[in-house]
Amino acid sequence: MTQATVAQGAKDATPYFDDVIQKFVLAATFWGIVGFLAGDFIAWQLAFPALNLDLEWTSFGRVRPVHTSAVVFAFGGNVLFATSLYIVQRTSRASLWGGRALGNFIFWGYQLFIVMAASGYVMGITQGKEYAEPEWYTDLWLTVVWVAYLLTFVGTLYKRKEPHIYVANWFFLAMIITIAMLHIGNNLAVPIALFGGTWWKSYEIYSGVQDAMTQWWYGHNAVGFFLTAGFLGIMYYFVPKRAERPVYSYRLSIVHFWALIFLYIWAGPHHLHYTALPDWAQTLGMTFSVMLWMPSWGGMINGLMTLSGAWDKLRTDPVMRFLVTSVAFYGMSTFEGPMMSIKAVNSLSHYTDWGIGHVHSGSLGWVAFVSFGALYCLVPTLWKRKQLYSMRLVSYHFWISTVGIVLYITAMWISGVMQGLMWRAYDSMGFLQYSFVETVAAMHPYYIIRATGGVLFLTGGLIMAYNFYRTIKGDVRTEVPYETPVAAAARG
Amino acid sequence: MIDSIISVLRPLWGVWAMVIFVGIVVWVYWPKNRSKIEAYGQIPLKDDENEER
Repeated sequence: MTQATVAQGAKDATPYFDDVIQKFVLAATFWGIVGFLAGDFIAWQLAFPALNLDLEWTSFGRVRPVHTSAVVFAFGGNVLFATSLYIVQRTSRASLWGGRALGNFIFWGYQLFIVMAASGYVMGITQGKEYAEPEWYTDLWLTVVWVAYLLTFVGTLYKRKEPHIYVANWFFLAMIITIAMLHIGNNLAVPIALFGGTWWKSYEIYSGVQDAMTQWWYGHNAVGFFLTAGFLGIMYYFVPKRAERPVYSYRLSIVHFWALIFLYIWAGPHHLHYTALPDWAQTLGMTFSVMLWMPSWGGMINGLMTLSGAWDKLRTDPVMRFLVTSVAFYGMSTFEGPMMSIKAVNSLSHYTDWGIGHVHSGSLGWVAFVSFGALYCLVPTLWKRKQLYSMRLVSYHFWISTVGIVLYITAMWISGVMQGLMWRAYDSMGFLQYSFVETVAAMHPYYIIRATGGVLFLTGGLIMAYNFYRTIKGDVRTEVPYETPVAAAARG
Repeated sequence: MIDSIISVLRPLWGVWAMVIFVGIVVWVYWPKNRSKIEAYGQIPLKDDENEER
């Protein structure tokens, strides 16, 4: 059965530049799989080091930034481009400023940035700054693409026919502006080619603790603005849209926005507890991190309560399940984060796997799940299909990935706390009780559990990609309707 | 004169940021603004997939 031919007529009618959005959706799906695969590969490497294949290009140190950049910037970035440019057109009731040409420039320019960054990593070209590994020439190129993105976004808002700028767009605009500021601030570097050195290498203008503080000002706000504010923009559009009811409290969403904006930028120093960073700066970072708990939970309540009166959708609509579970994970990891930023807790958790567990409960549970939910909403709409190929497959994706996340984060919690406790254990003579290698050996089973969780998460991603492929082809799977007749009737 | 006022006020930026934030919260939750602000929540629901308006 095919819907493709029927849909073709309607496709030409849209005044929005959806073909650009389609490309971003496909790229996000592709890079997501690549990023999950790279992550799981290095997860197995940690359990079985021989898997580094004894080659420099496939060693942990080089593939790890490929994984982080692929999931954060390639997967997450393409999801943000797709959703923000889709949402800003719809909620402004205006087509993209700069049109198809500028949209395509942003798309291909950003993909080029990804390829430039990742190919550099495997060859050993890196600034060595976490999440800011690309060297100066890649940084400059990204700046050009990002300014084009800013112009398109603001230009579309400027053209808007809707008097009010919907709150999702505030989050996206805050993301775009702040990322521009962070990217430039943290990447101020001098290429050594200017002094007769090799062409690709550069050195930061900051050194010592200033460099560390600038790096974590960047690093934490990449989390705060790229992975939080941007994806909250997705939440504020797609949760109400999918639930077919307005957000629980628009007033709360305004307070949520401004509280995040005022607080997030100060939280970075919690990455540098008990270092050379002045104590007052550490305490400042901790205090702001703890305060962040409040607006984060305000936002979570706003997202979850949007479903009040429509909770049955959790049972009948697996896409809604992705969106709602993502908000629950947002609440969980924004509670865990402030707790871990408290110095006493941090003295146990810092440098251990607990941090990795925390990051993945946020990135897999919140960022990836809200992205999956949004992509499942976008694909049928963008390709003018009445429905997804299969709701069953969405449900399988949901459960397989959820089990994967649970395996991942519980393994890392246990492993991290154990690691931290072993590091600080003294014997009766006052000597350290464990050598470092004993802590590594103790973590081995948890590394296997974690990597198994990763296999499940990757499997879910592959199911999604197959579902998209069949949906775009125009197929509909013959299956018992997922939704109950009552629920379907209620939705019209 | 202005220089000396600025030099007094400048270190107090945290206070001004707080005042602005509290101002936003008061404005948002001012009872008279309720219906106007909550109506904005309808924006995603009334967008037509195919029509610029």
